[in-house]
Amino acid sequence: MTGCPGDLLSGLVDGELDHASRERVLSHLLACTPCRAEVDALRALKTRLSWAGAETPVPTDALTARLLGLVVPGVEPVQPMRLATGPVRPVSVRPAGRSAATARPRRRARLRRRTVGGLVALGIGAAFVLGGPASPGGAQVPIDPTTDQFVADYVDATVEVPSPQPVTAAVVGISR
Amino acid sequence: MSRLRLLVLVAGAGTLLAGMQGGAAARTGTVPDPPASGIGETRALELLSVAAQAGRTRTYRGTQYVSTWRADTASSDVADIRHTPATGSVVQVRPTADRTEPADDAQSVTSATDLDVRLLQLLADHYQLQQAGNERCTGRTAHVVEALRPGVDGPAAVAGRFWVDAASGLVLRREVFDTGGRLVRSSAFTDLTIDPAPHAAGSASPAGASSPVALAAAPGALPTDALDALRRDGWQIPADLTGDLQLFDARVRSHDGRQVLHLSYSDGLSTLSLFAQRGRLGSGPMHGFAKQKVGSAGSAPVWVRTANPERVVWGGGGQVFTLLSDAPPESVRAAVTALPHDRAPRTGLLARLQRGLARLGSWLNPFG
Repeated sequence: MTGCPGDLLSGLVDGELDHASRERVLSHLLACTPCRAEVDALRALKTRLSWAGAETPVPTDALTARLLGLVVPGVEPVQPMRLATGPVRPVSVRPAGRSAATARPRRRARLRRRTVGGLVALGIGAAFVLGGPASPGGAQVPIDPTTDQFVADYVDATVEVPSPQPVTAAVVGISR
Repeated sequence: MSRLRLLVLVAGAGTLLAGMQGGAAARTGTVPDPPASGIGETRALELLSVAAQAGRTRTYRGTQYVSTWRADTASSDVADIRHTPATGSVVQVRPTADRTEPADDAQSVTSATDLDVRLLQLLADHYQLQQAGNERCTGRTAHVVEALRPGVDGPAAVAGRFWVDAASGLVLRREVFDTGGRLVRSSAFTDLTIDPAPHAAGSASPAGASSPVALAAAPGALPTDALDALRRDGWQIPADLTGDLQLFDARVRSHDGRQVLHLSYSDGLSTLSLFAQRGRLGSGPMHGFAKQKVGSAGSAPVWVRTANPERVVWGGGGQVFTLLSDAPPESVRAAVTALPHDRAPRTGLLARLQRGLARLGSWLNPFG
């Protein structure tokens, strides 16, 4: 049949026609069986799509990752996420603009700065703890050099009379 | 002619002189009066050689005082001494105003008047000796011997004086001066009783002066090869300290089960003992010692006790050094400076962070 509205049929099904176009398409449908059958088919498909969430097969994780990882010029790739079973949630695809193009390196730089800063803070903290009070000698054994035995040995090698005062001090010992 | 060869000559001359002057002097141990032309270094060496032997042959007892002077302190002690050639000396220090309790135990020491033959050799090597006349000392006639610094004139030239008893050869009095001519140490008998008969084994005559030429190491002293082995093992054993104090005795002692290296230095007038131990010094203050800054900048302070003898304690190179000496302060300070010193531990946040980073680095270093 000539004069069929064509693409206006889908507009009629979607409710997107203005009043005049809708009246004209509906008048045509009264006399055109093929177009009436097509409109019925479109409506049935739309109804089916609206309720087909549970029936739609869930893509595998690998397929999802590949799809989300596709590089489309002008479209920012979406981070893969694990799809849960259930109704498919629409994925927002935002056209890449100027701000999105510059945000990527800025975010990386910020992340790098935060990582480096965290490592530096961790290193300083560890150094402060490990640097603790100065302890000379490490594993060396503390000794007491004030023992009076030194005086006796010194006397053994000298020709003078020693004062006993250092001996008295040596008996007191040293405090550590 | 070297000093040692001169000493040998003097010893020989002493022997000859003793034989020429007859057996009377030899039997009594009396030091012969010097001939008019004998006043000089040869005569001085002979007198000191006799004095070096007197402690081995004479029995005596008496009271001796020892005084020392430092820049800010002076100390004096009085001790009773009993000496026999067989047993050595027993010294009992008397109570003083600042120490009311007498010493708990008398110490057996070498004679306070004995001139060690090794020290006599060092004295002849470092100083020019001369006899400076006769004086009365402790009620006895004494020959005065002076040790002069070579190349120095005036009052600062005298480094030491000895008063040698003309009858027995014992040293009655001794004085030591610093390079400025100031008296830093003096010791003398205030009273002295000497047995008239010398010890038979010593054949107490000036002929005994020949003994000083036998300069064998004292019993127990480490031989040269043992010292070299210790040096290779990391021990600090300088052959001399400040150029004047020379090593004349080294031995390994044991204190409380720990090995202690005892090094003795002298220039003939003063004696310095250096004790070295493996280990580290405690970080706390040492009772009776004062902290002083000695050595290069950045080195840890040393602990000093200015008494007789002066004592200095410090750590360096994985060892703890304890120095005891009756030498003038400038000599002690120079000796301490010449030995290793630990760096002073740095304090503050930056130093702490540096220590921590160094420790972290040592952990992360796979080759460390």
